[in-house]
Amino acid sequence: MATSDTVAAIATARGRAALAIVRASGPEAIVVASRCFEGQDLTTVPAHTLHVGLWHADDGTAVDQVVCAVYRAPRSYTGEDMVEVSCHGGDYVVARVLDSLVASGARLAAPGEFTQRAFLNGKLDLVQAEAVADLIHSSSARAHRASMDSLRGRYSEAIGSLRDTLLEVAALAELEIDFSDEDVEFADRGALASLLARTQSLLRAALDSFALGVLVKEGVRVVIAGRPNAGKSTLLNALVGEDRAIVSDTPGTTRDTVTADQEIDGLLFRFTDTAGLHDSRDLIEQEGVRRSREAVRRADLVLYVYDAAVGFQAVEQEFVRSIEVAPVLVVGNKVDLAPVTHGLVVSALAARQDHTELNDLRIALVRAVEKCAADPVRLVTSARHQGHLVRAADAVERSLEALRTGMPVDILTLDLRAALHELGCITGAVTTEEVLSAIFSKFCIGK
Amino acid sequence: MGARTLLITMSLEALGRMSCNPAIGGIGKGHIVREVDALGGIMGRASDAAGIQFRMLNRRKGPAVWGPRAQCDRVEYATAVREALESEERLYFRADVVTSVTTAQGRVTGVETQLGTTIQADAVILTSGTFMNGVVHVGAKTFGGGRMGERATRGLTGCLHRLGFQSGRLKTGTPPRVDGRSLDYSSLKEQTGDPNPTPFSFMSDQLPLCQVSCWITHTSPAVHDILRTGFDLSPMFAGRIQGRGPRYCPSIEDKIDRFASRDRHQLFLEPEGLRTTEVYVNGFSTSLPEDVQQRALRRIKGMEAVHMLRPGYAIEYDYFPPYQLQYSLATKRVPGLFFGGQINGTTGYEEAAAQGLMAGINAVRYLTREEPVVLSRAQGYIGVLVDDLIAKGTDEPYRMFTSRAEHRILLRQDNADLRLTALGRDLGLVCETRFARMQAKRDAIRATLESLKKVTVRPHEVNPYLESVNTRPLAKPTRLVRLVLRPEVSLKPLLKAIGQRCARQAPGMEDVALLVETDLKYAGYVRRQKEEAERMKRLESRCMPRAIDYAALTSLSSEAREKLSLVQPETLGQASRISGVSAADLSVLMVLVSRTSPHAASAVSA
Repeated sequence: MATSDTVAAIATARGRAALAIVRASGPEAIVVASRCFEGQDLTTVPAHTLHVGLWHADDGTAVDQVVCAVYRAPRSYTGEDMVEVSCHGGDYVVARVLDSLVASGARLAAPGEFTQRAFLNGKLDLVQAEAVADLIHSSSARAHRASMDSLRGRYSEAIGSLRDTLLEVAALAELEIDFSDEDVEFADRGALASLLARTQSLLRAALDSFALGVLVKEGVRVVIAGRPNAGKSTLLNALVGEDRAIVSDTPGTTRDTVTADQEIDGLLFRFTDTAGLHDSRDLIEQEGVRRSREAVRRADLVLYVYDAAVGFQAVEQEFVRSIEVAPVLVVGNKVDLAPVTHGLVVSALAARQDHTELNDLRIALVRAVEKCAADPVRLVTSARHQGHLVRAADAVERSLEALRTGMPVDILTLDLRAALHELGCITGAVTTEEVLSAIFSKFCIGK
Repeated sequence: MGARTLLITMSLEALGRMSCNPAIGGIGKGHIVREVDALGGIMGRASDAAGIQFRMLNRRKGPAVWGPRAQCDRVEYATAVREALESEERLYFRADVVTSVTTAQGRVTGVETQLGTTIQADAVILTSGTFMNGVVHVGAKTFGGGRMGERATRGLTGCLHRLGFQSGRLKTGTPPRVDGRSLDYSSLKEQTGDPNPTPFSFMSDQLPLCQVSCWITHTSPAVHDILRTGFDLSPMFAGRIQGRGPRYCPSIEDKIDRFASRDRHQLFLEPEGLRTTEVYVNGFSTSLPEDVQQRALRRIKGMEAVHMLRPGYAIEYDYFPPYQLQYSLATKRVPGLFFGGQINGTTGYEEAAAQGLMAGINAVRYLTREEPVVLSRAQGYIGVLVDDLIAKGTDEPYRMFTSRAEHRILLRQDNADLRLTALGRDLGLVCETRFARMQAKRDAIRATLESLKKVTVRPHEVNPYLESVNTRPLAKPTRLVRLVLRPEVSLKPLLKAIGQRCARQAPGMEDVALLVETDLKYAGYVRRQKEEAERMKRLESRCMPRAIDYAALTSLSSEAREKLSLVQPETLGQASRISGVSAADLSVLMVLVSRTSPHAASAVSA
């Protein structure tokens, strides 16, 4: 609960809107923002001024044209130095602006933290105090629920073994310090290093699997599936507005998977076109089918296209029902050729001439994603987890470095503790008592 | 501090008596001794006067975790303690047993004793050790006692119950003592003390007693088999002992039971003094029947003909869970009543000394109506100890470990005086000589650091040394302070190589070169930890309003409500360390604190 660091958060509601505001508060707020902002040097501008410029992500790419409002302590909402970045709405842009603030040195704010800072700096009157307490309570409860949700399933196992491994390293290091005159076997440097390396790879795996990356930062993976020649490639080309997939009338032309990115309403979609899903005797095509099924398994969303002229076949319906991993959007194509019985109505061919034709599909895609990530807190919570994991990974890297350079074990434990602290922010604090218990349960201590 | 004080003890001969191993210090514990000494306490000086084997543990680890330890002559230690006490002008003694605490209007008014005397005092400190309802166990034999051969005290627990306190039961144990004349030293492994012993006290210029060795041997499967024959008579396994014992100091029967796969356990045979042949069998704490102890000992290498002087035993005693205390070590219920030592659930001479010192300081401050003195976790191990007890409580005998101190890098045993002596002087605990020595040491470190910053070393001067410690030789002249940052490099040989000396010597037995080297090497880490400590201080400085009805704060989680109601934390910092209080709960508390004192809030976070 330190108030000396700089925090950042999205200030406006999530979803499609013309504009959104991301803000940073704390002693470094202006410096942090200025690192991402191309325009006037924000660190030298007067307080309460607005500045137009380009916002850059930490990799240097331009994200958006933005307006920065600069406030200086104590005349700001929180009473600290503050920058409010107004960018274009949509989750993708907003998330990237937030990301770059974090990459430049801010920390993601805890639920209610801006209000809390405002309060602690005497910016809110006493009447508001109770409301603030309740706000913190309810938003943290929501964040907690969301983080528990995101921890369930595939993350929980990874985080669990990560914590165990790190605890083991910490216990071994502390054992060496506090019980050096005991008759127990101490881990050699090699064993510690390999445990730490294992921790590091677990951290990376956990980071890789993070939901924020999947949906917002890295885009929504949409796999287009359907029988051969249902018009999948045509639909893809219509959606992304370029000829990415080879289109022909011969069934099974798309023998490999083809991908293309398209931003719709601020969300990044990564479409994967697949080979037709029927059992062909052609060897190359069989490989394509295998890849299609594989691609469907990794999808966030499946767009199932059927040929309206042929109808939504029973085998197709069965296939759609069998997809459990992701929501499925059923689309009837080639409506110009026949009436549609199921799902959405599109005509990919017509769409190529007239881009408004696919609007229903675009809206349906965004809605489907919003349903996946209905809870806006979930997005931020995952981002916060990611932040903790990144800092934990940094700390583990430093401890590996300490080990390599032969630093004494008490220095090593500084970074181990930092890593455990970060992990503790996700899983609940790792206490000294736990480390000691790990030692007492594994080693016979006591002269 | 000048308060007129009466020390009541069952036996004046028992002043400074070491009930367990006659050794002071160790890892973490040694830090406490140095801190007690820096504040003017007598433990360090008594240990130096009585020490017969000094060892600096962890010397091959970072200097922050070095742990001074001394094996002491039991008789000399007690003599040194009694001499020091008797030289205090306003300290009076009385041999008697306190049976109850008297109160009026809820405040302490004095104590009543077994001899029927009523003694009036506005402040009372209870340091009952293992004596309150103490029960000694040896095998199936059980009898009341505070230590082997000493009576237990009865009545005091009941009196405290009537005052509203809650008590619990803890257990500890001690190994047998044997006759050194019956040991075969030729088959034992010798463990010598340090060639250049480091004293505990910052005031010591020399260590008077001659140095002796300890001896190492091991148990064996045959020994374990004999011990197992006594398990069904063991008070531990038979369930006659209910109190919880320390996990880090298990009995030998516990060790072979819990770690059945280990075929041997290390034992240290430690002399109890220079003028006695009594030897302490460290590592063999037990409450098995006496004959089983004797037979098992005789199967140990080097102890085949051993003569046991007194058996090991377990002791159960009453303690008062420390959530009932304030940070001053005053009880929350009865103003003027203080607790220190094992009564609070701790174990160890050092932990007891720290609490005795702090309870003493705060009892005087209570009498003079001054604010209590509370050390922070960043100021010293004493601060860590008191905070752990009060914020977290304990349900097993608590002992210090360096891992308990999150600011470990800042809390070195060799800088305890730099951290605390000025405070000791402000409180009237530290004499001018001690303060002047601390200043001289501080100045010597500064002067040496300053002069070394200007020194540049040339390759030909230092390369032979650098190569000898397997580090890259220099290609061009380099600043000395940069070179010292290499983990392999030490300052002393470097200075020797370039023909330089430390700018100034420190008083006593302090080694300036080592202190300066540590300061140089650890500067970056120290800075980092200081920043952390600074952040924590903000929480510590925010007092919780008195008598909050936590149960009514529905914004808190139910676990936090329950724990906070029980502990009633004094500061936000303490609240943050109570298990079950989450970051969100803490935010709610912060708002609460700010609401009750808005001005203080903005001042702190500004």
